[in-house]
Amino acid sequence: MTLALTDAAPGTRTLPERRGTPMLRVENLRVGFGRGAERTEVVRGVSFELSPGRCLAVVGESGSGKSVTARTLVGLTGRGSHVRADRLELDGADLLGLGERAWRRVRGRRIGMVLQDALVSLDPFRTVGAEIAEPLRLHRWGSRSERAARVLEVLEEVGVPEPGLRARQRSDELSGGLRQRALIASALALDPRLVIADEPTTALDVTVQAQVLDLLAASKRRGTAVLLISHDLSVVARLADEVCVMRDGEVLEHGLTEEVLRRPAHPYTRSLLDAVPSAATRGARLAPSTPGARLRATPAPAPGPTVEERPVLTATDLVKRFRGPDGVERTVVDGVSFELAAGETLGIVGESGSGKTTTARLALALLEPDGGEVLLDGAPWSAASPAERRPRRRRVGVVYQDPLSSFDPRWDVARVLADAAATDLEPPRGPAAVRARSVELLEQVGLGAEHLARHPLRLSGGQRQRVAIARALAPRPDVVVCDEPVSALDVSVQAQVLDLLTDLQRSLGVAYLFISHDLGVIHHLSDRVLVMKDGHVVEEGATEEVLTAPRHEYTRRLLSALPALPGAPGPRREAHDPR
Amino acid sequence: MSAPTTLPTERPDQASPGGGTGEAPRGPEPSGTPRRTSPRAVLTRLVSRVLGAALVLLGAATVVFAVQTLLPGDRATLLLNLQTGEAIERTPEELAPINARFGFDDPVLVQYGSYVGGLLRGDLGTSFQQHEPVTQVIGGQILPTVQLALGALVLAWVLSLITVLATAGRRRWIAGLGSGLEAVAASLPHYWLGVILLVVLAVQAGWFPVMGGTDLAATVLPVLTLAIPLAGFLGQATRDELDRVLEQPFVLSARTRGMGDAAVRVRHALRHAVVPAVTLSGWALGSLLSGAVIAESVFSRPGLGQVLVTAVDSRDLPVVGGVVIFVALVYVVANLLVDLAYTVIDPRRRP
Amino acid sequence: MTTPGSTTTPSTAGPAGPATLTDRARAGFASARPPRLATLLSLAVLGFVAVAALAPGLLAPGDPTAIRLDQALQSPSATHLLGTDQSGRDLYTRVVHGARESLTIGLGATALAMALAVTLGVASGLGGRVTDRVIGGALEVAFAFPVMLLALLLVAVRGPSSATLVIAVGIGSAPGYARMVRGQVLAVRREPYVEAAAALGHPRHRVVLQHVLPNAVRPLLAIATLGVGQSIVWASGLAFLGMGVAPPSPEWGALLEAGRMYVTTAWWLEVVPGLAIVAVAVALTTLGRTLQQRLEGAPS
Repeated sequence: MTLALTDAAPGTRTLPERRGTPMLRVENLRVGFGRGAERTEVVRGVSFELSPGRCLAVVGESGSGKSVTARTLVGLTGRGSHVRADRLELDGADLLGLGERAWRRVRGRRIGMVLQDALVSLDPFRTVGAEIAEPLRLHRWGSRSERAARVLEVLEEVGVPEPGLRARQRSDELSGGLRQRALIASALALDPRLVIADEPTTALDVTVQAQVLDLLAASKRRGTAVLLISHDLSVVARLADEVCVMRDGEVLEHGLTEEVLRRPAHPYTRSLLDAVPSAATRGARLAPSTPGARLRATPAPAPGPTVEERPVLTATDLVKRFRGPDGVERTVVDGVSFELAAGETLGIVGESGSGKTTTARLALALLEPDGGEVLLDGAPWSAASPAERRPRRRRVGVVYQDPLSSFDPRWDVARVLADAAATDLEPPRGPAAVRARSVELLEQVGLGAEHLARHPLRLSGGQRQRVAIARALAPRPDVVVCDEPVSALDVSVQAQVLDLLTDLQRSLGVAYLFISHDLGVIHHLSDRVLVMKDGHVVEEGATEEVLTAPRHEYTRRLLSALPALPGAPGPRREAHDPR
Repeated sequence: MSAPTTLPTERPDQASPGGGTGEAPRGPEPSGTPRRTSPRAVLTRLVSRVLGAALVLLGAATVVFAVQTLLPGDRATLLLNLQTGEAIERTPEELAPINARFGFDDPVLVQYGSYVGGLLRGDLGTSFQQHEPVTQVIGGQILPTVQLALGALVLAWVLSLITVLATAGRRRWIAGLGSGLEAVAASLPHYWLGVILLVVLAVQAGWFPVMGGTDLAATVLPVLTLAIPLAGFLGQATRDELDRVLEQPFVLSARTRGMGDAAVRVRHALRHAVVPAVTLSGWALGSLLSGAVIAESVFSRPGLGQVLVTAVDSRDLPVVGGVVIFVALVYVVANLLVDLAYTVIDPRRRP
Repeated sequence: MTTPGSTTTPSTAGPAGPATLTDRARAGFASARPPRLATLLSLAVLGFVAVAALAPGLLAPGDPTAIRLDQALQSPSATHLLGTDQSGRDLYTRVVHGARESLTIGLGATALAMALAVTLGVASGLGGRVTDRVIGGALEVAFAFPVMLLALLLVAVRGPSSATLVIAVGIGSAPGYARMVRGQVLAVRREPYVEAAAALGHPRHRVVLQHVLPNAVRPLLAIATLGVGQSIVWASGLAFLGMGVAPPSPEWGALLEAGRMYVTTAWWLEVVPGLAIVAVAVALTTLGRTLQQRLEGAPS
């Protein structure tokens, strides 16, 4: 367990002696797509070993090659792929030269695979029972009645109550947690010795996420080897014995989880760790160097929250009901009240279905409440007529989770920004003035004039969200409603965008109504927080108070379910000098 | 003529397989208890469907009535001329008994009422030319046409499924060949295809009778004539959807369990992929009846098509109207069946 | 090609929690696809037909109606590439000169259908609930109405001409398009970019004109391309029932109808115009589908 940085490339570590022979051996795995000169290698020389009863996590951001690695291990890399390796062995048997027929005998029986989001990973037309029985049937396991019994048995194993009933339901009839358990059950049905879990908790609420991780841990204790693919370091911390950090198809660092997360050897790993927002990062920068330097050159008026007591947005007793497709009316938002003061950040946190997004749309007056009222600057906002609202809309901006779908697909960045900038400029709005303002906006969010001519499709996820923020800022609003603005982003990009939002608040004094499912993000950013569940506000108050000493049982449950990184080393924040 | 090309891209609604993971807010989390809908909900849905179908029929009947009453030319004159084979002006004395008998002089609303009332009793009026109830004129010709249309629909499904399963999602040139075949098939004019089939397979090869009857041998070529272009359309719709479904995560899931390619296609993907083609089939049955007009004419086959062409030529309006109402009925019933088929394919649509 | 997120379409992300962060390696090679052989062939066919329609003299300098009874019913040869008809007219010349009228019918019918469809579809999608119900009901009835009959009736009233064909085929195909436009309008109206425009304070009519309409109608471009081919096919079918253009015209449907009588003795009279129709329709279908995929996938 010593660092061996002397005779190895930076980032490699010696691993502890292993007991017994590894069941999975991967040496110098290379995967490319395309033919001839067009081939791009997406996995470049990956090596690792995995023993029974252990869990190896492959961690990386989009494009790191982690999922391709996982799929290669079950021979499903896809058409046009080219796989090479010095060694690719399962239980001492070579996997490299397997034909399709031989692969089929391996998949499901010797290697089980769990994909993310069971809603789309289970056939929506078939019952959960049929899906779980499928690997049994394919591998000719037992008789029909034995298979039916095994389905119930596995469902019970993964902690699904009333397995007999659940087996007859389809994935869309189950809650997110049950659904994901059923998916895991289908991978465990034949008791494979290796389970590959590709982002198994990504689309899940924290409480459900915790349950799924416990399940995989139990499986590990029974002697199954688990290969966990994830972008989320805190998920990894909870389950993995070893971690492989990948970027651009290469393994940058490989070691015991504790070691890697506590004392990362590679700068990239360190930046990933630093980028995770949490209670500990409040008030600190997340990204090592945000390309927003131009903005930060202007000194912030005063560091720290500059909250005035003037409320910009006031909501009282908001109620919103929707009629479902079955004709039944449901109350999605029920008695929600809040006050957003100028220059502050109010976080709204909750799991899916808690009504937080509906609350955001009510605040934007894009939905009419069925009860209660929203005031903007003390004047009627939700109760005003559309014509009265229109000129005041520029006071409230909005940033969505998915920036791409919030841009007209026919428009390039210049047009998106010009459209928004025009709402701010006094007529006559000449093209030069519009362009100047657009460039100014881009610079404010750390982009440059060269991005004007680009189509949003040709931007990276982070750049798109920056453009979306620029558009929201164009009319110089007092409030920006941010609906999960960083949820679709990689952790390092998320860090940059969060830093940017903090900077903008300091320099522009804009208030944020910040919607997120991520307690870490909320804790990092918000001054005050609203915890929502089933349309109700269960707890509210100063972020520090609510999230460190929660009074409500639900908040406590949320917090305890939150996977945490092992105690971060004290001095890690000092690694970057504040610029 | 309602270009079928517009339909393949259309899905019945957003609940299409797998794809429904858009931005729409996910409904409230399912409680986990099985959804047992009350019999009342089922009944409500059934009643609303049937009511909708009845409204469509009423709409078609109204159009037919409007055309009959508003078309230029005096109906009584038309009727007399048709009976005698003349084309002359008639005196009021000649016309009076006709007008009295058919109620042509009644207020329009009264005429409309008696027309719709007649329909409800299964009375489509009397043919101007043949002096027989329209139901009789049409009735004798319905069976061969329906046989033709249904045969074509079934054959088109078989042909399209075979091509799609064999070629979709395979190597690029194989998939290209498949979709090329479909594009050609969908572009074949019925009339031309029929004539070519007739000449090559009946006249030259002598495999099939040249002059049409309604027996099996004489039915093969007309059915092929209608089925091949339709197979092209169904194939295009199914192929697009199959390509999409094969990319869905649940298909990958099935493969990771050790399922082979053929089984993945048939057991998982196909069920999802046929949904657009099922939608198309409701429309197709109606359009096949239009196509039958041509096929019957090419192969000198008795049927509704012949009746329709003759009736239009002679302006025998009640017969024309009868055919329209019959086709509308077929369309309405076909779409009720399509609705039913949806719920069989996709259990999520069950009420 | 593998820039992280460069070709990511986040629509596959879970609706609630964080989006998928799976590797997008495959997206890389789906993007840079060279034009397929089929697309190039289609363009070549359409290029030829376009020249034939605009300047038939360039491709076939002869007179399409010149009667040479001494050369009647000759099979294809060096002097008569595609043979001659019963009056000794050169078939190649006739097919080339017929392109204009056939294309005009196809384009005219599609344009008419589109105009009707966009009007109805947009009114239905943007109007109130009552408007939507009424138009939706009318479209259902139109679907239930046998379109062949509509054409027959029109001919009975107006007499056969290419204008009649355009109207018959145009009206006949409008309901299908209209239903699509309506669906598109409803879908686009729910798009976040429409909400984002409203949130910027743009008035409703501006949001509709600037975002909803263009994006709802855009996929129709591809469909219309396919539709032109189908209209030509359908128009030729009507020609057979005596509803087409009068015989001396070299319009393709009329050629088909005229060739029928000689199909056992002079096969080329029937086969050649049919192939012309099929070639154009296949080319338009292929192009339309390519366009459809492009519009769905990539930026313009």
